[in-house]
Amino acid sequence: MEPVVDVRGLRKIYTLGQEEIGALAGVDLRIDAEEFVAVMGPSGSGKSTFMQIVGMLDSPSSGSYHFEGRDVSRLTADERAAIRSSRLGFVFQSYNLLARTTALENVELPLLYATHPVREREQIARAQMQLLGIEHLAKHFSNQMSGGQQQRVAIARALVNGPALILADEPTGALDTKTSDEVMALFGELNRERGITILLVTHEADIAAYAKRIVRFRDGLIISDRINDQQRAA
Amino acid sequence: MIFDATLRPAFTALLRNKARSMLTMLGIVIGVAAVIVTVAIGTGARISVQKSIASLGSNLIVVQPGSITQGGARSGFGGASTLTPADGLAIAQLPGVAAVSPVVSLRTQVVAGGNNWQTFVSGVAPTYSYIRAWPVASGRFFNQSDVQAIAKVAVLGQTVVTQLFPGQSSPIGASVLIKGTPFTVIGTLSPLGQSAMGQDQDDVILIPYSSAMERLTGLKTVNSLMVSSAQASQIDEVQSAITALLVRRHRIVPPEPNDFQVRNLQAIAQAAGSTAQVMEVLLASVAAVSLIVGGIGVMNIMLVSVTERTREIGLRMAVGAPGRSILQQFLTEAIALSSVGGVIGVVVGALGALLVSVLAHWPTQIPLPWVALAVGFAALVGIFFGYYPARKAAALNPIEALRFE
Ligand SMILES: Nc1ncnc2c1ncn2[C@@H]1O[C@H](COP(=O)(O)OP(=O)(O)OP(=O)(O)O)[C@@H](O)[C@H]1O
Ligand SMILES: [Mg+2]
Repeated sequence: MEPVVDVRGLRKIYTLGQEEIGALAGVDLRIDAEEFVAVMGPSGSGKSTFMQIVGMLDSPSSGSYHFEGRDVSRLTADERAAIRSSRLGFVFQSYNLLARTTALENVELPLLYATHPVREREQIARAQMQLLGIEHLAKHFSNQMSGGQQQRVAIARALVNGPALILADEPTGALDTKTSDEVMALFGELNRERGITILLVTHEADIAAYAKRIVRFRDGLIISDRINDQQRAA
Repeated sequence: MIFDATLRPAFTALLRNKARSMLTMLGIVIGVAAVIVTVAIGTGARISVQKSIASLGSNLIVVQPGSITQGGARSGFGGASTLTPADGLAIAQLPGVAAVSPVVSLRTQVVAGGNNWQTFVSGVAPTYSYIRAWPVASGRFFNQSDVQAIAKVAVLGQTVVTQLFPGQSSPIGASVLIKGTPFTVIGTLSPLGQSAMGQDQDDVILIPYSSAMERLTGLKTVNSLMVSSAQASQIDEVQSAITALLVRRHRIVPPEPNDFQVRNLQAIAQAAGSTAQVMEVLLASVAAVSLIVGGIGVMNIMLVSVTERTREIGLRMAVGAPGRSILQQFLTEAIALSSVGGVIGVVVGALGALLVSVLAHWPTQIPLPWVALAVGFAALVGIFFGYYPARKAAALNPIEALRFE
């Protein structure tokens, strides 16, 4: 089967005036369907840069990236947007829910840009919230929920289009230990029971322990890539 | 789907900032209302000018003195005083002419009892009542023998009656002093109301033209001749017959210019109408400039809105919104602002026009094509001034937008 993500010699150079910053210095990584990968590494090692390129929000300076067998560099902006809409789900450290908007409307948001009939949209969003056990939050506004609740709504939003890959950059960075464990348990469940591929960035070994595979970055390079044989389940 | 991804977020955003949306719309509202009010006043005036001129009769012809050349300097129309009652009598003999009346007019102070009043005194023929379709309300109109006798008799308009004889049941038989000469009131005219120009047509005293010439002006000439053709369809033939007759009577040898001018009221109405229309378009364009100023206000607020919602835009892009969809969302917002403003502007403009006609007694009329034009132009302003901010939103880099605080 095609790998979900296949990057070869990926480089990213940022230019700040005269200065050139090499954020990625040649990354090779292959992620297959149903994997659960945690990316670790010191600050500034290029983790977020890597996630943005994999999420097609940014393009590499050089190197190749194939998503589900398609060469991303050959896609138009609209085709990339269509893939983001149907195949990718993002979870951010700061949740990024729309202000003054209900949880339900936030979850519905990605459906606006996919081909769903209006009537089905609310149904799909509600069903997704129900699966995550947060249907009681449907009418809550963003500022009426705790951090953990907001992150669950954000995860429901990432899942609502039935994506192949979830990209989560430090999703527990703003949560306490207990809530972090609950969120990670949820990711584990989604991976195990729904076969969703997950790529997650974290600084904490406790969090990375939920993944099946742990990749370490340093100075824009992968310095280790190993299977986690003590995967935490809950 | 497209409707949902653009219209709904656009209206949600506008409703979220109600006060701001209102204030932004105000510029458009004022612009459109100004256009509507100017056009309503202009159109109303034009239509009522045409109506009242037409009500004078489509078969009415006016002969006025033309310009004269004296030592190379040409006076304007009316400068020559060459028309006489005899010209009128000759015109009355022409085929197709129903009636002719000379008109001698002057403005003067009149006195009756203890009251005095500044009014128009017109010296006319008995046919005048027929030509203007203006019957007496009481008493009688003067007749041919009054004209021959240079009789000191007068028929009063309703305004003059109320000014000179307040509270009296009938002025008939009373005496009115016109320039020191006492005239006996023999009748009153039925009320006509205001003319198109806002003039009170009932503020007039009619006397025999012979009396006006002999006793008041002392001149052998008259100010104009009013001719009524028997049929409206013959008006052009009658007009040229009058011209030919007067050229002969006044011994005008070409290339000398005519010392008179023959016009029918339809032509005058058309001329007045087209002048009014030019003014109307001019004023409306000035009002339209304020619409453009309103458009700049829309652009300003849209730019603020794009900056404020940078994170939202980044997020929408991350969840799969194509640039086109973001562009449409913000463009829709700008168009919604300006066209809703346009519709409110039409309502405000209509109320303004109503107020003008109620308070200033000025006839107003709102032409529908102008309503469509004003709202359409407002929407166009929205597209034009909304495009730049929307373009800016669509061109945002999603990563930077998401990081934006
Ligand atoms: N937009 C940018 N312009 C210039 N340099 C950038 C930009 N984004 C990232 N960098 C640089 O690229 C390098 C990698 O940054 P990145 O955000 O990928 O690190 P990270 O591993 O995610 O760090 P952290 O753990 O702190 O989130 C850093 O040196 C950073 O300063
Ligand atoms: Mg980072």
